[in-house]
Amino acid sequence: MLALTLLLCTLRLVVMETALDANAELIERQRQQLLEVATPVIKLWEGTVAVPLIGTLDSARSQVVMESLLEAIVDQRARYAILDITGVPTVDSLVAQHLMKTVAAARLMGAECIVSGIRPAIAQTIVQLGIDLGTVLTRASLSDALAYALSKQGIEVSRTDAGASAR
Amino acid sequence: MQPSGQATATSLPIGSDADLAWVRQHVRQCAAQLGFGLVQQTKLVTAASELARNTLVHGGGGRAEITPLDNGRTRGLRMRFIDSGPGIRDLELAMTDGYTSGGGLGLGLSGARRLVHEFGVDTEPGRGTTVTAVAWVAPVPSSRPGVG
Ligand SMILES: Nc1ncnc2c1ncn2[C@@H]1O[C@H](COP(=O)(O)OP(=O)(O)OP(=O)(O)O)[C@@H](O)[C@H]1O
Ligand SMILES: [Mg+2]
Repeated sequence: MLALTLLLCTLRLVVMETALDANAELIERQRQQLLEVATPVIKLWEGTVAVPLIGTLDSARSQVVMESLLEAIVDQRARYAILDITGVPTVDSLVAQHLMKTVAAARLMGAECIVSGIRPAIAQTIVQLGIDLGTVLTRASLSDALAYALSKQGIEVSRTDAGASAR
Repeated sequence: MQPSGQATATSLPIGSDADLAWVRQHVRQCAAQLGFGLVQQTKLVTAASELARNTLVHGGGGRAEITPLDNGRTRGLRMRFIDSGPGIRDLELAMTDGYTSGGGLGLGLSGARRLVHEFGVDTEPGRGTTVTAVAWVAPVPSSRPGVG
């Protein structure tokens, strides 16, 4: 069983290596494109924007995210900015530091930042790493974060009678 | 730590951010195949990310050696991060929460140590640094020995 695991690990590596050699340049180009494409800032509501982060949050990526978020905060006159990290597989000390810097910068622009989508395994890992996200406002999900932002702006979401009976 | 199974290491280069992503991916897939649960996988990948980045940033690059283990009772994964960079002059200081010689959080080394079961640093100024981290699928309760 261990031998099989070893074999699988090794085989996959050979496959990956071959693929990388052949496509290194293509991959690098696609990575650059992804940098720009994969960081849309979405207006969720008047005064509320969100960035759904997906994939690896390296320094270059974080820089792009921060810039587009700050820009959107100005353009949309957003008071609330949501960083959703549901699609971020690993939160290490560098990623956490990037998140905290983005939150601090958004704060300077007059917007409150909410980090949502921290999965249970990641939450446990962050705590054991020793990262203190105490100063960062967090919510379990993007919808919780939106509900928070709306309620802070005095907006109430309720089900109408029609909607309730239709269920 | 005596692996009864032959320890065949997989060696991965660490020379760029893309290499770091690759190391993480490899560790995640090996850990999953060895039977680590999701939380343990996440911890292993995060520890690997910290240590590989140290190899890249502080050690000037190097390589990772990922080795599946089997001690006859349970399976495990050994991760070794090797560079021939400047080494660590004051290891105790480097292992302190919050200490960084750059602009980091200073949680990479000390945090990674908490994420695994066995942890060891072999370093010599001017010669380089090797960090070894081991985790077991089913560790013996309350035994967390260090590795040389
Ligand atoms: N492979 C290495 N070679 C040389 N020095 C190292 C190495 N790994 C760690 N160090 C030293 O130990 C210090 C602490 O490392 P640690 O990973 O805890 O923090 P950091 O890398 O500075 O910040 P971060 O929290 O982002 O990881 C580093 O600042 C560096 O001086
Ligand atoms: Mg580090």
